Formats: sequence, C-alpha cells, structure tokens
Amino acid sequence: MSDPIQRAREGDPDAFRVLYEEHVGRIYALCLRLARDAAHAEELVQDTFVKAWEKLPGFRGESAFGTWLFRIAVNVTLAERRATGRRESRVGLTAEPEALPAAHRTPDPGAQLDMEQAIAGLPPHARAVFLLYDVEGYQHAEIAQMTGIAEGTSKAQLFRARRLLREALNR
Amino acid sequence: MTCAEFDQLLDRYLDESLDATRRAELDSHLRGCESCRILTAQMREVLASAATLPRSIRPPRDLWPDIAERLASRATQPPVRSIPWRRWAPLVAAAVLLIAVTAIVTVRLSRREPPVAVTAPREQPHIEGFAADREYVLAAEDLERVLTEGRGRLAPATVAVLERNLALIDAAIVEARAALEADPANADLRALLWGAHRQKLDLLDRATRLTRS
Ligand SMILES: [Zn+2]
Repeated sequence: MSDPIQRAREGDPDAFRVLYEEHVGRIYALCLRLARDAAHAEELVQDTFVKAWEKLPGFRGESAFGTWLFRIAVNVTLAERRATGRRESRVGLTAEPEALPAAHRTPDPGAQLDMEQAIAGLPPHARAVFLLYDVEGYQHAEIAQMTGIAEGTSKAQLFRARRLLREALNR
Repeated sequence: MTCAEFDQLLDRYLDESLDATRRAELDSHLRGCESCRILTAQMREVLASAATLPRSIRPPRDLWPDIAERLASRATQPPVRSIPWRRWAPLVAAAVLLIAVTAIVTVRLSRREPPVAVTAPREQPHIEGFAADREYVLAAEDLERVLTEGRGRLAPATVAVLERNLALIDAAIVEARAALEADPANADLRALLWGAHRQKLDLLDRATRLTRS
C-alpha cells in the first residue's frame, strides 16, 4: 500500500479519509478547547480538513503532516474568530477545586477535570498560547508563526495563563 | 533577589532554560522564601496537570460524511467513494483492546488515592459476594443524576474528558466483575473491582462539584 499522504495529494479521498481518521482526535481536542462549544468545534474540525484537502498539493513534507494540519486548525480557529468577532459561550469557572496537599497530587481523572474547567476560564489568547505551549508542546517561535502574534507576546500570554491557572486551581 | 524578580524568572526556571548562575540565584531565594516555594510547587503542578490532559478526543459523532460531501463539491477533485465498514473493523477492535488494557493499568495505579466524601463505604467492604458491588452502583447512580442536571455548566472539553474516563472505569468494572464471577475467592480481583468503583465515585463527585459554581 502506498503512502496515504502521497495518494491524498493526488486527489484520492479514500486516502484522505485515512489521514482524517488518524488525526481527527487531536484536531477536535484543540478546537474543543479553543472554541469551548461542542457544535462550533465540530464546524471548525470540518473547516480544517476541507482547507487541508485544498492545500494538500502544496504540502511538501517539511514538517510532519500532523504539525502542518495543526497549523491549519489554529489558523482556521483564529481567523474565524477575527472575521466574525464570534462571542464565546460563557463557561463558569470552578468554584471550589479541592484543596489537596500541593506536593503529592498525582495525575488523576479528577484533576484533569479541574484543569479542563480552569483552562476554559482563561481569556482567549492566554488559552490558545497555553494549549499550544504547555499541552501540545510547541515552542514560542512556532506559536508565533501559527497564530500571527509576536514571540514576545506569546511568552507574555503564557506567563499570564500559567498564573491564572495556578490561582484557579488553588483557590 | 526579590519575590517579584523571582516570579519574572520562574517560567524559565521551570522550563530549565536558565543559565547555571541565574538558576543558583533562584535556588538560593527558594531556600529562604516560603511563599516562592509554594508558588513554585503550584506552578509545577499546573504544568504536570497540563501534561496529563488527553491530547486527542474523539468527536461525539462521525464528521467524515459532512467533510466528504464538501470535498465532493469541489470541482477539481474526484468524487468521494465511501470506505466499507469492514476495512475499519480491525482498527476499532485494536482500539477497544487498548482501552481495556489501559483501564486495568489506570485502576491499579489509582488504588492508593485519598478517599473522598461519598455515600459508599470508603474502606474495602467486607460484605461478601456482590452486595458491595450493588452499593457502589447505587451511589454512582445518585451522583450521575445530580451531574446530569448540572452538566450544561461544564466546558465541553471537561465533559469529553469526564466521559472518556467514565468509559474507561466502566470497562474496568465490567472486566473485574466478570473475572470475579469466575474466581470469587480472588482477593486481588476484589480489590481491583473496589478500586474501580471508588475511582468512579471520586470522578463523579469531583465533576458534580465543578458544576456548582
Ligand atoms: Zn520569594
């Protein structure tokens, strides 16, 4: 079987579906956290894959396909927000996260819930930078490229996001 | 070094991108300053917690048909053919197997978590047979009812993570229960079932409290 990226570039939608199945989970997770609205996140995922299909002939494999796709998702999400000035759904922040002993909290599903809810409460730009840097592992230079903000702004937003999260999780 | 200066450098300290001299200055400040020690510990927790978040979440419905339709409407591309389900079946089977294995590992790792305030017994119950199992099921149902009412107040990513974890735990419960039926005297299996139940209650309890904001 030949490489699905190559076959998709040549216009084979079955091959593109293989790529969709492989990557949709990560794209959806990002869109869900950025948009904070499940129906809106589904639209953004669809837009991302349609745009990727259009741009695929220009994909030369300089970056991993996943990273390339991710960049499109970020662009689609941020461009859409700029264009429509779409207001985000309001999500209340957690009122009383558990005051667990700080040093000994191990990763567990309950802590994941608290973290998701705290991330949802961040301002949009701080949230985007935090997700890209601390959850997805991109560097500031890459984030600047993906989002169109300056590298210094990315650092400043990360600084802000981490401190807001610390407060939210330790109230 | 003041606490404000410490805070300004903390992110680079945590990212380990400071040179040795700077790092030593921060270490020295930390030794003498409790509030910065707490700040540092809490920031480490934020980062550790971010690292445990699922980076992949399956959409609740298949988005491919809509995408395929849009691709087909692009004039430059050939029409979309659908892929028969059986071609995906082995992949799905593999994913299910992976989830089952993960559930067991998760439950094993979580057995030493601190107890939470729930209505079910906190110690491993000595009730023989499946009476204790039923107690847990009833307690979980109570919490699930409360959670259903407040669910709209949770961020969708929170709901997705909640559902994913509940599915993992439920699979572990089913698995442990089946194993226990075949081998009722096995204490390890009882502990496994108990651990899964307790983890489920803990999760439901935390989620319920998140809805009350
Ligand atoms: Zn200090």
